[in-house]
Amino acid sequence: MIEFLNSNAELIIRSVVLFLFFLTILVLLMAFFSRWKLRRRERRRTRVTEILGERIIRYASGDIPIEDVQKHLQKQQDYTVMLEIVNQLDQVLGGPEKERLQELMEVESTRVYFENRFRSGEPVFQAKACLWLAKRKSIQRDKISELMEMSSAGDPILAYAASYALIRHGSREEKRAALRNVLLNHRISNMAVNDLLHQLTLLGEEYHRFEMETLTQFVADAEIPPGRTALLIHVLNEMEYFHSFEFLKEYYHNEGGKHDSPEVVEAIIYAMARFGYEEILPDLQELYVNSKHSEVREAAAWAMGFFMKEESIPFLKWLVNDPNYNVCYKAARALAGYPDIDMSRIRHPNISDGDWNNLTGEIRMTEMKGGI
Amino acid sequence: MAMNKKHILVVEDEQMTARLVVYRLKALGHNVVHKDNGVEGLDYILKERPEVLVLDVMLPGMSGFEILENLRDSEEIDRSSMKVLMLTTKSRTEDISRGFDLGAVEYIPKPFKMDEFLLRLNRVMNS
Amino acid sequence: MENFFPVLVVINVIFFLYFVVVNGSYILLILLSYFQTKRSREKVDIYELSGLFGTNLYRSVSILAPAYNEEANIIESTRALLNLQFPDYEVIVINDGSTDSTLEKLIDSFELAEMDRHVPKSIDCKPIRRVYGSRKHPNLVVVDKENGRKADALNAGINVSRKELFCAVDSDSLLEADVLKKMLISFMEDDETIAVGGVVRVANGCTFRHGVVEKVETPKSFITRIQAVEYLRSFLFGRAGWDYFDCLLIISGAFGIFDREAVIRVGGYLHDTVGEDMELVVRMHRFYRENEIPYRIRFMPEPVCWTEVPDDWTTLSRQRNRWQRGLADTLMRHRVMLFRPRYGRLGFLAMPFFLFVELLSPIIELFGYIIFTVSLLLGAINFTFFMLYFIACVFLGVIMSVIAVLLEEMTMRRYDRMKDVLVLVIHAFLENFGYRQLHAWWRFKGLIDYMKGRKEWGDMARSGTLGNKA
Repeated sequence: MIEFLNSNAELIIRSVVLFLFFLTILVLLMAFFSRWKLRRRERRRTRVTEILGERIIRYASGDIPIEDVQKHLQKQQDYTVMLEIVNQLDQVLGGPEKERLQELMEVESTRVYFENRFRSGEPVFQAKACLWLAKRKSIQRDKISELMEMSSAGDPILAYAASYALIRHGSREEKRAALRNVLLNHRISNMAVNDLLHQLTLLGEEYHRFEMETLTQFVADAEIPPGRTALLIHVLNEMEYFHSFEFLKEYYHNEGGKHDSPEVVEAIIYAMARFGYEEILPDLQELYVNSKHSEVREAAAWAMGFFMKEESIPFLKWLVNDPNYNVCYKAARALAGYPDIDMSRIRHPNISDGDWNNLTGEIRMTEMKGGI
Repeated sequence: MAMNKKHILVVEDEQMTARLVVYRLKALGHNVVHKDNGVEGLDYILKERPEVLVLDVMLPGMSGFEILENLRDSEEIDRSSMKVLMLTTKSRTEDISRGFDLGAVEYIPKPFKMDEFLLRLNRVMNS
Repeated sequence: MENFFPVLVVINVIFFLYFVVVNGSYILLILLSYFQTKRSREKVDIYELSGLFGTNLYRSVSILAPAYNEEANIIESTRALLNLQFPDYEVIVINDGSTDSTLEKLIDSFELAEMDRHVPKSIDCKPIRRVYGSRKHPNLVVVDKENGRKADALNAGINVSRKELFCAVDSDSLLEADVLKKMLISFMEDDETIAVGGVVRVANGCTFRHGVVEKVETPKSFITRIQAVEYLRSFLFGRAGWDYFDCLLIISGAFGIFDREAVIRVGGYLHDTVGEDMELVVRMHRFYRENEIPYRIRFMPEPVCWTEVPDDWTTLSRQRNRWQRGLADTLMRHRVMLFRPRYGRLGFLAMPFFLFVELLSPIIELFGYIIFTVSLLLGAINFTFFMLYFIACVFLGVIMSVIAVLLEEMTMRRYDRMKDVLVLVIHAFLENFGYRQLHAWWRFKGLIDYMKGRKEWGDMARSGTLGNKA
């Protein structure tokens, strides 16, 4: 080995140097070439974005015909630019403007471009094509079954985008099936699911009866994991779907209130309190204040403060001693809500006097600002 | 028409929405200025005193509510001369009432219809 | 004497091969990061974040900005932080016992008033004196605490913050307006994400207006230009490359988003290290692996933070010395992770790479130079050999940097003029003559200082000034 290295040292180095030399030249040439190309493309993109933006706005306002937008769609990237612009507008618009934007999605060349992507087999491209489908006014039935298959795909991005399209275009049953696929796919994050649920609630059919029923059905669905169930309950609460109250009440008594998952119990306590169901008070005072999960005790403290009943006071005072800061804070806040309680006289063995003053002071401040 | 020409400030951070609104308002002959963040929006209001404000709630720098709070607390601004219209996704009841408490005259939830927006804006301007 | 020559030649060749392997692996990392960068760019615009402004079910962010004697630019940098596009985030500026007028300036320009805010001691930190709120900006909180170090200030910030995520920034760096939104995408892609790092780039030379980058240009001085090349190479592409293997070990202290609960779980930032940013990330990896909790630590090539880099040699040498000490300390503390199957790729790929390539390279490199000079002087190798050797090294360095600059253009497209790219390429070339050797020397001294410091630990802990400003 040493022998070999010694006798061939110069050869080794010479060949490496030669190789590196060519590599350097190659890299440099490539660098300048692609740089030049990129710059051209980039400049074009900026120009196209500007022109298309302006055209699409005028077209959406009904001032110019669709052809005036179309003639600016020349290259592949123009379609992506257009989709981006339409996406932004589509989110906030309704009425005839929105319909015009949808017509833009129907133009022949746009269709060909996205149909190809839809069949590409590459999840990210397919997902983008799904978003395009979602923006259209209506889609063919045969697409639906393909979308349905995609919504159960393992790839979270594709599943998300396919369900997104189905929520816009599927029948009620299909919407439900797609959402259920998503809820069961553990690779999709809660925030992404929330996004889809938000899309669903935007539909606003029949005073949200359909959305509400869908969500409650999922809550009752035993196969859906508890983390998602909690999310669904939070959404029902957050969207103020008061019609779901009867269902949630049942669910609370049969299952939710005793659920193994603290997330579910927490969610249902908040929902029941927000919907004004005072009958949970005994449970709050006997069961939940002693829960071994701090998030449940926290929810209990908040809920007791929400109802502000005289008989909750001793329990709240007790929760002020909780080792968990959040529980203690919520309990203190709840107590501060009572008109005739002197916060400075509450016992707080786990908190120093200085910290307690800060805590009560903060509560006073937030109350003045009208926070939650 | 000339009589109805107003000085309007649109504070909205979504570029395309802002461009669309500005385009329509300009087409109607108004003098429209657009700012995409709350701080610059407030600065403009204090300096230039637009007659009508179209405000988004969620804004970088300072929210639409904070702008209104600042205007309420400011002594040099005569609020009655300035009409405020909120245009926003935040449509929960408590938010809407907060907007009205702070002096907004109209509240348009997104997604919105352009015609309706213009109609309500007209009503605000003529009230 | 002559009998010794063959050995010298062999040593030289071995050093040369080490050099080729090291640089080869860098080039490989850079290429991998190209694919990784392209992939995550494609994904970015799938999620619409449509519910972001509509519901309260999204995670929100507290920005933690520690400040120690920053009176010169504290107002401007704070104002920039308040101007990001994101609903419902809060900015927490932590005045770490400044001895200048940092706090007074903040109080004056943001109309701060003392407010009550109970701060739970989730993580140990130096006492907090006061908490201020702003009348102009409800989402601004200023914390005045006793002087600790950057790590201590960040821990205090974590205690004060109330949001699910926190973003640690240097007070002398500037975030682009949409960074939070973009960073949130990683958390949206995967619920198991606990930390995300972003790109840090050299702000020197760029033009800013109202805290927004208006024009991106290369810096003016030699020293900052070289750093611009270095940053592109390591921050942008080195890290995206590690993200490809899913074992990112460094999230820059200048810019990263963390899950607050996860950081509290592992105990927060460490007080007695100079490399608290890297140490935290490695500790998070270790904790989650040891407890077998699934997690992701990601790097996003798109969200950009601009930072001012040192413009003089002394500061730069001190900074690099500190980085090297931080690296040494982190690897030392977590040496058990080396070559243990339970740490997977971290133990077999990332940790060894950082040990043998990042940490020990200055020793090997300097030793190589010495052997090389000795061999040349003694006549063990001839001048042709010397030249070839040297040229090969330069080529490697240039290839690496040029690819980095080139890929930056393909993925980020930030430098607008051809001239800027040319400047970067030229400096990628010049870097090899002098700077590279100097850099190795600084890092070598860093290692020596680290070894000395270990004997007198207390001294080192105190001597470290606030780590955020180089």
